[in-house]
Amino acid sequence: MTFKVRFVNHYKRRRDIYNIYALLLLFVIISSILDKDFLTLRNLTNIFTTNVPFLIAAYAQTIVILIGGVDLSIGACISLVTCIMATIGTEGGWWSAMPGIFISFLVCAVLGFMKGILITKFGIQALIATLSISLIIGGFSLAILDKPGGNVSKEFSKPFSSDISLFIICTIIFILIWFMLNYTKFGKYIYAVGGNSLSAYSAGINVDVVKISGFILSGFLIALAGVVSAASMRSGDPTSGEPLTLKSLTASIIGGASFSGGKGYIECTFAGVIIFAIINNILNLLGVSTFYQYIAQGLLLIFAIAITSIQDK
Amino acid sequence: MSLKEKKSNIFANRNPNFFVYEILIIFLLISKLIVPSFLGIENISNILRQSAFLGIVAAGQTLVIITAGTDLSVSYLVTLGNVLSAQLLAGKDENIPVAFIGVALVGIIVGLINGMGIYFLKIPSLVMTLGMGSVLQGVVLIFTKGAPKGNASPAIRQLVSGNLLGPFPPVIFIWIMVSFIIIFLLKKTVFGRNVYSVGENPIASIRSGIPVGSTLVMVYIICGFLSAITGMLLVGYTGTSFLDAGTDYQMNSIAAVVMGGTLLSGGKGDYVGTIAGTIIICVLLSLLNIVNVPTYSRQIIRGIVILLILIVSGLQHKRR
Amino acid sequence: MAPIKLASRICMKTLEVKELTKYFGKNCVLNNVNITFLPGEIHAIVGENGAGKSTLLKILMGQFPFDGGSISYNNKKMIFRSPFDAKENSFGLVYQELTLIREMSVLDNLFLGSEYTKHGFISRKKQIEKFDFLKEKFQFDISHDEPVKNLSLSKQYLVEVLRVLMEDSEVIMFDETTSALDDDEAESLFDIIRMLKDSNKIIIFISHRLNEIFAISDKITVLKDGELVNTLFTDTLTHDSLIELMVGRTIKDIYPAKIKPRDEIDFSVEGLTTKDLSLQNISFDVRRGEIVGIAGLKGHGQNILLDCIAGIRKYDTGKIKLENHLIPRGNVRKAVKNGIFLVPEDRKTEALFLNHSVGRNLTISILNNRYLYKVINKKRETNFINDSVCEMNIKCSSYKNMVSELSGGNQQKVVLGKVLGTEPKVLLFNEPTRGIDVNTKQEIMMRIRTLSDEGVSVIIYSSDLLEIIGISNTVYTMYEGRITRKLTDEQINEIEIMQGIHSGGEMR
Repeated sequence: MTFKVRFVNHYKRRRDIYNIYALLLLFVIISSILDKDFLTLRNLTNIFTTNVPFLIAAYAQTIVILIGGVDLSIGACISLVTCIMATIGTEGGWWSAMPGIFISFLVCAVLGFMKGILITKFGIQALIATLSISLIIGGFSLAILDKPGGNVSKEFSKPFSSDISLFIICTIIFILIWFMLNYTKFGKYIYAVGGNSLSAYSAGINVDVVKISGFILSGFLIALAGVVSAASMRSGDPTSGEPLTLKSLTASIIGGASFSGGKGYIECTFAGVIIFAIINNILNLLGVSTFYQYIAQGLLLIFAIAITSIQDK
Repeated sequence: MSLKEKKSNIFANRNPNFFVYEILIIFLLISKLIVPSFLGIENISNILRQSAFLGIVAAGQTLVIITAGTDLSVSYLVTLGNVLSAQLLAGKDENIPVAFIGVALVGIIVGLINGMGIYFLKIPSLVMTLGMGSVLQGVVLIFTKGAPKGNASPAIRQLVSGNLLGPFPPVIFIWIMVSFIIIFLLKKTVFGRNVYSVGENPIASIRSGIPVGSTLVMVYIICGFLSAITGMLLVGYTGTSFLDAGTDYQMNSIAAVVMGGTLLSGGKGDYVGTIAGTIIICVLLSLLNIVNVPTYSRQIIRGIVILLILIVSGLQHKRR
Repeated sequence: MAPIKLASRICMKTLEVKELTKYFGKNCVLNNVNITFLPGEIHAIVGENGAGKSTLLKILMGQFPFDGGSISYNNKKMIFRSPFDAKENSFGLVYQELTLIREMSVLDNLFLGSEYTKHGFISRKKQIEKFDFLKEKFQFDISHDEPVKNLSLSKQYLVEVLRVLMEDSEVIMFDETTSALDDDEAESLFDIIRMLKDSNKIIIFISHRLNEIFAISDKITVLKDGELVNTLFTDTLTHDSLIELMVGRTIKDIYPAKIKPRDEIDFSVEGLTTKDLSLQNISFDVRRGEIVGIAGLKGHGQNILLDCIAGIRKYDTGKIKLENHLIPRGNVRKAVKNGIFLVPEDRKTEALFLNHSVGRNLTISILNNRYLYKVINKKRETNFINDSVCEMNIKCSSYKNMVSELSGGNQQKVVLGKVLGTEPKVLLFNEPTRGIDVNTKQEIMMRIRTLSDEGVSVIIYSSDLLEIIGISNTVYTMYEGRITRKLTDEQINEIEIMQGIHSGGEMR
């Protein structure tokens, strides 16, 4: 086989991934033309570090979308975690934050389990189930902190404010999820259940268990996003996570994840997050009011899904 | 047929609306037990006033849910109608026609875009309306620059807080009128039949010669119109406008519809049930308010009740 | 001693079906069937639709329980409770429909549910080794990385076959696996099946294509109406004798006498062609009140033709004319408005509103065609429904019953009632009597006949040849998207049709 043929074949198989990165490159070029401050190391690191919770939340959303669901409670869960983190072990050294972290992960895992049960065992649509869960979680967040406040131990939040350690965290998370999706049975089952749950069932896969586990796994990622978010704010906020719900959803869909499930790549979600972040960043640099960013987000979501649904046809 | 069979048959064949009205009565009785003065005429009038706002939004939501969709943009549309009408009214009665036309147009246009995106671009209704919600949120912020201005005119205030029949304000009668129109549309017109058919089986609908596209678009337009108008009525209630005037209407309207026996999977249900669902939610809110439960617990309790309703409805659906 | 031992071992590995009986409700779909399958033998099962072939395979795979008789493999009685159970016992079935997950790669699909792992993680290396081993053994050309959705249909079926082969099954069943494949593709599948035969597996093969059956099978079992007709060696049979065994019954009184249609041409199709050549230059005329039958094997374009005429699908060139009036393509509403209506094969998903009442189903089309955006006149509607229920003889306790509560035959009557309410000019039927008992079948056939008397033109596609023969004034046979024969009067018989649908029209 000639090199060319092999390349074409390779491209065909990985078309989604190449396309999204080509789009990312296009956005980088446009942005650097629009504003000369864009392509500076400072700005680029800034884009990355301010969006770490967003990135992790988008991974969580992607996993849920892969199993054919969607999670509209991600934002509320992240807010809850920041509230927990800001009220438990607020002073002292690194270890004092551990109970908070433990509780956060436990709470998010339990919530993930609940979402999974509601969807698989009670047959409630994922969107509605997670929306009402988010209402309840919002109440709990307000019960813990009725307004932004609290404190996260300085010692603990230190590593989360340095670029390098954030970079390391993101790399490790990315590799873990990528490896899980590609090299474990569970990862394959996630794709299978989302792609065609009937076929998955006839291959001997317990569909409900895979879905519930997917929500629990996504819960762990949400908890992590919340911990990072709390550490970087050094406080808790019962509404800070709210925008992340729509953002994570939009980023996953820009990355080509399909609402019907079973289609999507973690590497594409990464690109989707960065594209989203670049758009926000360039709007900021150009001095566009944050109000317009809501419109941009909404339109982005509608366009991204319109394009994927037209492609699917 | 044995007596037992007869009994079970009665239960199987009876109107599903009975169930939700039974729950309504139970709710009222419980409230009466907790707060003896709960069923006083003043409080009932207050509950019905709240129900009128929610009920008008839920009317549009009922139509949307019967077509197997869900409109998540209603809350933002209520807010937009709220801030827009307050600004247009600017406290003067002569501005009412302008405000009404402006608000109605916004609602119709938003509904039109929702419906077109859902039918022609095949975007899932939840995602389309979610994205639309974000856009509307931006529009509200840009329009008000973050600080809503304007206030209600005397006539609008009168509409919501005046007394028409005893202590009941005119807005309740607007709601009754809307209810009659919606029930008539659903029960007596070809359009209503088509709404059910599209929700039950879109493929068979196309093949039976039903204009699926225009039916869907029309449904979203009605929903948009009613939501925006509710925003305008709310100005009369609070006197001014708020950036989160509509927030609660998203979940509450869906819950009212589902509680009323309309399935999220579409094709079944009616507005008669939704009316009871609406009143139940408003009774619950009123009770939480009177007992003076803190805000956060109110939210938690509301969420749990809605979730329980969804579970019951899901189980009913699964049994079929 | 040695040879005897060998012989007994071969003997032991037979699969025996004894006096197998299966009921669906009151319908007996398999009655006292006895078949013995030997290893190293390709055993074909043939019969018309509803003869019980697929049911037999599904019972063997544990999808359905059986009501009487026994299944023994290797001299052991087998009762499978689920397909997994059957798989564990080295039974494998290649389904007619694809069960692959389209977004996943070939390798992931093949090993789904039985992944090779190393230290708990999937070992791609081991999986690729196994894949290459299979590739070497069965000589196919598929890349393991390819997402299934990028493969051609035949390769997707090949992956489906490989999935069964991977499990080292001893009993391998093929349920019309070749129906979606063209001749070359089917031939490459046969090479694999022959290889399996050489490795002493039991192979059960169902196909509607007689050519294939003669090409590959060693033995043929003929089923008819759930009963075993005979099991014979393939070399003792000819095409004609096999068809005779399959059909073997006379046309009963189901079909009313034919009446000569009027002479005026009412409806015509001219040069219908689609880009993917699933239809090629289809032309025919239908006279007023004529019943036209379309015959063809599954997947030769009949469904697409009906969909194109009804406006459900778009064609690329050609014209459809009704009363010299051009019908716009790809527009169902226009077609319905003009009086062209399709009664689809899958009534539950394409025609009925299952959770709505009988009455609502009956009136939805007429309301939309006559009284759009108007208030419904309750009295007129009830009258119409009552007339319709009565005229169509729909058995329900009240027109308020949900359609999902009715039997298949009554559901079909509801569809027919709905369509007739709009007073159609051209009626298309796709498999009008699938899953319907004989009595209702007769009622529906009588209804179609009266309609044609009233001047409605009818086009019917059915895989039941007897139906086509019994009702049609004219029959067109289709093969690979083309019309191969036009048959009228005495020409309408099984042999002519069989030849038309099997061989593209050349006389053999």
